Amino acid sequence: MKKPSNFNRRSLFALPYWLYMTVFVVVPLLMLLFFAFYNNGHGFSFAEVTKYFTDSSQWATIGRSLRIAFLAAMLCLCLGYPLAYLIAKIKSQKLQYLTLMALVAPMWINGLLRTIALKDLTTLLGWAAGEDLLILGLTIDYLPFMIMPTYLVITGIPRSYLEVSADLGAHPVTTFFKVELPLSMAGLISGFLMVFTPAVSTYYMSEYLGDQSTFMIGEQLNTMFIKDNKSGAAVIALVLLAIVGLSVVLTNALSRLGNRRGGLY
Amino acid sequence: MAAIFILLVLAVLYLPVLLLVFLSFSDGLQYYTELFTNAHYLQAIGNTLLIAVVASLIATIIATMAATGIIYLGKKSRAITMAVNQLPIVNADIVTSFALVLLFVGLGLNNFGLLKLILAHVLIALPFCLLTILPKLRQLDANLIDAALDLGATPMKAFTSVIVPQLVPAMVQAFLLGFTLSLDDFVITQYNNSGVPTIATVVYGAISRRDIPNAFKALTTIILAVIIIVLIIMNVRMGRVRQGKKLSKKVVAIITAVVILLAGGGIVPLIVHNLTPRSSVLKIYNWEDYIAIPSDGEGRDLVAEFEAYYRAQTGDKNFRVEYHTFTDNEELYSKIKTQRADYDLIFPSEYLVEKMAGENLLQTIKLDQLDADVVAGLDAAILSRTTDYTAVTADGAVDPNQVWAIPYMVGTVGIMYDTDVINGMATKTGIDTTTFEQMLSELGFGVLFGAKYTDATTGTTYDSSKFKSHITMKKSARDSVGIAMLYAQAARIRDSITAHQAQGGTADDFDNTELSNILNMQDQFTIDQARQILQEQIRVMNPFYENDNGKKAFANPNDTRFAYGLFWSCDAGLTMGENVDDNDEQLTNLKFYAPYGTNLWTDNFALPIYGKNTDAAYAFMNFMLDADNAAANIDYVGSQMAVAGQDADGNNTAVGDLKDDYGFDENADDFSYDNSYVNAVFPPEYALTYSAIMHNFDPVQETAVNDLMVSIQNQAAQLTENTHGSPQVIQWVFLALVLAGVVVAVVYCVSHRRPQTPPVN
Repeated sequence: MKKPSNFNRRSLFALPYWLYMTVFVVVPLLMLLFFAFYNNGHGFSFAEVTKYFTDSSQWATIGRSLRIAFLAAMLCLCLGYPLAYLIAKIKSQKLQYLTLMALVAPMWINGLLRTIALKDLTTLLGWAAGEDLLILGLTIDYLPFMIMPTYLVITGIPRSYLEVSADLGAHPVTTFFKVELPLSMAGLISGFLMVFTPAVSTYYMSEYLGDQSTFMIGEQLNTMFIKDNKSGAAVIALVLLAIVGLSVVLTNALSRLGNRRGGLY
Repeated sequence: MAAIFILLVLAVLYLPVLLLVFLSFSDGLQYYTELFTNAHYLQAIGNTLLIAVVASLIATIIATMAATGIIYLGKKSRAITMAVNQLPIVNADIVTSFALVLLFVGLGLNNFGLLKLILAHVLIALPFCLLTILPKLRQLDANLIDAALDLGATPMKAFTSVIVPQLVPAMVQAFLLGFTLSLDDFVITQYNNSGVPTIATVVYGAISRRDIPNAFKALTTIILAVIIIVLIIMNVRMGRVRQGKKLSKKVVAIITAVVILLAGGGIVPLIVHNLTPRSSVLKIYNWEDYIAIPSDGEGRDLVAEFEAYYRAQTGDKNFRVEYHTFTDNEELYSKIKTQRADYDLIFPSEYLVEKMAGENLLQTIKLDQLDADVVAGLDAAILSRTTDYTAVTADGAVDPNQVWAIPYMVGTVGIMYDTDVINGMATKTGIDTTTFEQMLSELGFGVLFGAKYTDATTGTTYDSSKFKSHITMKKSARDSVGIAMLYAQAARIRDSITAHQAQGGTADDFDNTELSNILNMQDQFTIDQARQILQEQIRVMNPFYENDNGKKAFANPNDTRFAYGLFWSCDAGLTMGENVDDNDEQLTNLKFYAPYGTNLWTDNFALPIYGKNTDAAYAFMNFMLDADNAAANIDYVGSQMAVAGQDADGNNTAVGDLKDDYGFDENADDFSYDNSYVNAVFPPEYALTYSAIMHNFDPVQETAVNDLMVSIQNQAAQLTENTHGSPQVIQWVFLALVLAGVVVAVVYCVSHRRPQTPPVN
């Protein structure tokens, strides 16, 4: 007997998941908001927020973080998209999986350990730490996050679309720009975001691979956190949240624009 | 060409790792033996595996159930669920970590270190697991579940016997993804860690003083080997799949076995760990790399020696030391204050002793519980400087039988300089090493702020701002701001010291009150003054702010960026002691000088109130303060302990011998290499006299000082950026364009190789 209500009891399977996500995702984010205005136990006020936004040097740090993360994400995109594309075009399915595994496998070695290893390697090669090295490090570390979604989307494009395009006389390059690229936009964008957001907030990478001039917003949050200034850290965390939120909205808008213009034809 | 491109990228990804592999063999198989014999490392590896396996297992199960539930949801609730799922994926991990810290503090999950980490790591894996499983579930035939339910199966039964078996490949994939992400994580682990060592935290602690532990280079090789084996197995397995065999039960069995093995690797040490009664465990929480536990296996391991000694003494064969480390006073404070960790012995700095004693977080150390020899062997000169924070007072009178803390390490703040770099720059600056040393003794910390020095005999003026961009400062707020305050009052300090010396004053009768007041002024006016000085310093000297990188830069002979910088004497002692050439010969280009009127710091033995094995803690203090053991420890750490160099009869103790071994010469000046090294390790007499201790700030001023330092770093970054100029941006945009061009070319080539249908005319 089905109940007239449109709520299906079988969806209760998701209950543990909802519970977990509420406690560990939603509540902590609300606590961030609380702490940002709680002013380290001195009552509710905008003091911390005002202090942050009236210091002009903060804006430079935000701008610098955005720039470094953008460049790293762009590099990841330029490297990751063709890589994903080439892997998706490998004939043997087995070889495809193996290549992907090989790309992801270094993550079994902890990220911090790999960062220090990169630093040691570049020191050996006489390459000084700085913005260039930081961007390279971010690119290397987050490349798998770019490749995975892009690969999935590209392999998801039905072969028939490409055949139809060829049958209709389109040059492969035309097919790529008119069919494959627009259809893989979604993967590209989620890949870009998955590189951009950790990159904009990195702190240990900029500490070890960067120099004086790469002081980033994540490092700032970390300093506040270590010094037990919870409200100050919460304000910066909210700024980072806003940056991430904005970039999601922006990229979504961009992809919608792209879809309208591109589409299948 | 495509293959070359892929291989090239793979090479870049693997190159840093391969360097570690290469280095792991630099001492035969020694590093591997070390990896498998060091209990601390094994525990960290066990914890890492345990967390990764358990967390991704939980995440896979929750995600599978969730996916089953979600397909029955209405459009709107599904959209909301998926949006929330997206949150942790796109959210910056540092924000997630910090938010989790707030949650755990709020929930009061204090002493549940491992549980906290597992719960946090579920969050790393869960959203990705759901995204892996959900599409696979959609491909299943929904009627199957309905059929099972119609045939009388309960929803749970339908779930376990119809859905799960079909989802096994997707679940394995989800598990592996979660496992990978968990192993890779550093930030979430570091933020939510309350004393559970993992691979990431051990590496982090180690690099703050030295380098990647050699054993972890070996570990990297082993992981890489595992990766290669997994790839080969996959290769073979998938070969079978292609021959038409389904992903069989065998594969599932193998994967399950591996999972159990991995989890076992973590659980077994955990069980062993919990079986030992608390009275057989001494929990110590010390600064990273701040006791003689040699990572290269050479020299004395004092913790292991103490274990053996205490086992023999008490007859308790199960006794062991659980030794954890921190990298920051605040980390120690929050672990005791907020998390109430039950450490028996901790090592707070002087101001933290004050703060913790004030908040009733410490037990006093009863001196009659220590060996009389040990108490008698403490260095009186050092103790006389530390009484104002160690003394226990009741009704205004000092209790002679107990103290809040006993100094463990004592040192100064001073300037480490590289004579090679200074001489190399001499043509540009007009200042050679001899001149620089004159400036240093005359100007003190002034050389960090661009002060000028005029040679009285020749009348030549030397300008320390010639070293612009070639000096280092500390990121640490207390140190940078403190030194700025000392510099602001340099004239006053110099006058009072000169006056005292002119009167033929001795070490004992110098009144440190004025100096102490200067270093501990916390009013808004002084903080503003410090801000101005530090801002001016950015403009004039453009210093490099560091906490640990500086040591490495000075230790590296190929790195000639820095001529001198602000250092803690313990770091200078460590760096100078390890400054050897390829043939292990001591190099003498690094020297250290602590100016008159410097800041005297200490790190101390203290007993937190939540400790449970005070007896063993006292025994450990006795053991460490024994002169022979102390000498070994000083030699390793590169910093003075509060153990006297001479006994009551005026004979040298092992500590005094060590000073002589280092070549200390009373008649030579402070700038001879040997004396400057000894002065880095053992605070010189003048520094014990003319120095002040920096006390605890009140919370409001402390926040102000910390904020000031963040702001200074922002400004320093801005300035360096401006001197770099904007070409960097253009350069990268250009590179991006070039790469985009390559992309198009590659894609063009590849697509051209595809068979084409002839165009229709």
